[in-house]
Amino acid sequence: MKVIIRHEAELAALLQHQPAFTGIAGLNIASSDFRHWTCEGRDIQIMHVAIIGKSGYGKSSLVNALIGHDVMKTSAIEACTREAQNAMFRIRDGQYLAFADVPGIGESAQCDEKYLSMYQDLVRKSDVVVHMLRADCRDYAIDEAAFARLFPDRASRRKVILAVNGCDKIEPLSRQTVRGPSDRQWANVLEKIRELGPRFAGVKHIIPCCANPAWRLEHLSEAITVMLEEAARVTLAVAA
Amino acid sequence: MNHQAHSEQLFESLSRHGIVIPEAYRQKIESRLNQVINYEPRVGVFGKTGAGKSSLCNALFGRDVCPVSDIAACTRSEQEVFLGIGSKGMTLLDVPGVGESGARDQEYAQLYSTLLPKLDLVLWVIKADDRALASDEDFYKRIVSPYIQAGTPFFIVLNQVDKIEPFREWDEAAHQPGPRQACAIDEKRRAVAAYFGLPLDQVLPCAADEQYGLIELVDAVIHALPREKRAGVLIQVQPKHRSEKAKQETGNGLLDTIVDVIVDIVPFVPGSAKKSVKNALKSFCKWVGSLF
Repeated sequence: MKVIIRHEAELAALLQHQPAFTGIAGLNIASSDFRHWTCEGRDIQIMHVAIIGKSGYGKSSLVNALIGHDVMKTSAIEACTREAQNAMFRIRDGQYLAFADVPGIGESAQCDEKYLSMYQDLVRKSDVVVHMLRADCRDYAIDEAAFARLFPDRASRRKVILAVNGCDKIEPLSRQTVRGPSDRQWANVLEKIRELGPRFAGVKHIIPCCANPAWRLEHLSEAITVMLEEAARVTLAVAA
Repeated sequence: MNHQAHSEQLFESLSRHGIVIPEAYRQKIESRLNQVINYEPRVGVFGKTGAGKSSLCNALFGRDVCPVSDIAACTRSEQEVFLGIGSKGMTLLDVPGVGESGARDQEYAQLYSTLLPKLDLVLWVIKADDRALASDEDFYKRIVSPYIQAGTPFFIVLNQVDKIEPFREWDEAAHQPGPRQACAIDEKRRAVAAYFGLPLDQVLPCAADEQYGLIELVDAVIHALPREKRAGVLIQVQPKHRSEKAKQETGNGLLDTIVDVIVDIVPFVPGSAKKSVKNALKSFCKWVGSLF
């Protein structure tokens, strides 16, 4: 899989923007078996967070919002992500945290085949997978099919977070709220999440949020951090 | 509508111009006239769950074709794509998801080969901020477009344009997009037209809940319909969405249709007399026009 590095910075820079990731700084992944990746010719260890989902759900916007830089190209009209794009944060020498933004599915049957096998590869190598959904949609056929294929069993779902984007666009639409949903929208978001639970059973967290303007992303960041900590603990235990 | 009333007006207009229709033909003309005016169009509304099929129908035709839900898929029946025919021949059809359609192609092909030829108009509803259009495109090209090629008026309705980003820019007081939204809407329109291989004027932006773009949609639909079906459609549309242009086009279509009916039915009115019959019916059409 071709990976393009769109952004590279120190972890400290990320923590300044999103303190919820602080736990990651203390993780010693050297002794663990976090995977080795070859990135632009360098052999490095990466804690890998992949963001997958349907085209137009806001994967690129989410990565931009999480890291606080507009490094991934976004468009309300057409797809603009064609290969995996990483935002990398150096924890210490040779060790990185990476967010991978990938092309979205649902635009063409041929591309989907290609992208889904790319997702499969990515899911296997990632430590956390953020599967994006939208609150203001009712048609989850593609999402459910992809989910079933990528995470066939309960064990594989343990590294999955469902991020439900667009909570500020669920009905009844309110343009008065500067960010996030109104009270009535929030009630509908909660109902939506109750509905999604059984359809995406076995995921670790379901987190309603908004990528732009950012809302509740600290909850998502926290969930990612906790899952990475657990992954580090598990791998350490295995090493010991 | 009162059948008696418009045929009386018709024959009166004609006799005022010296064209007296014998009793023997009156009933035949009357019944054809009623067929045209009271024609119940069959409208097929396609779109994925959540695209806003029901909201669009409710906004256009002003009656609850289907209760609209904020959350759940309201139009979903137990297992079928066929969602039931609302009053007045409106049919809402779910576009099956990718992978869903393949296995049941035969079934769909069967269903649509009987349904599609009966439709007078097809509206294909797409949510403006939806980028995952593979299932729409695939289903349209394989199953639906052969019928459209045969001449059924067809429009893609780019619905919910008020939600296109940046959605907080939408002017709720004026029911208009903000400047950046207007650009995004225009761009999306072009992208969808190219994606489906359609001319730009068959992809129309609207926001059913905001009552935006509906007049333009009705104008385009009326223009695309065969003249004898315009009145039947326009009468179904909510009065506030009927523009002068649409009324005029409908009135003209109606006039031409009636002239043809008269020339066709009454043997002593020759085809060359069309013009004088048409002149004689001007006041009648004015009266019918006031009905829209």
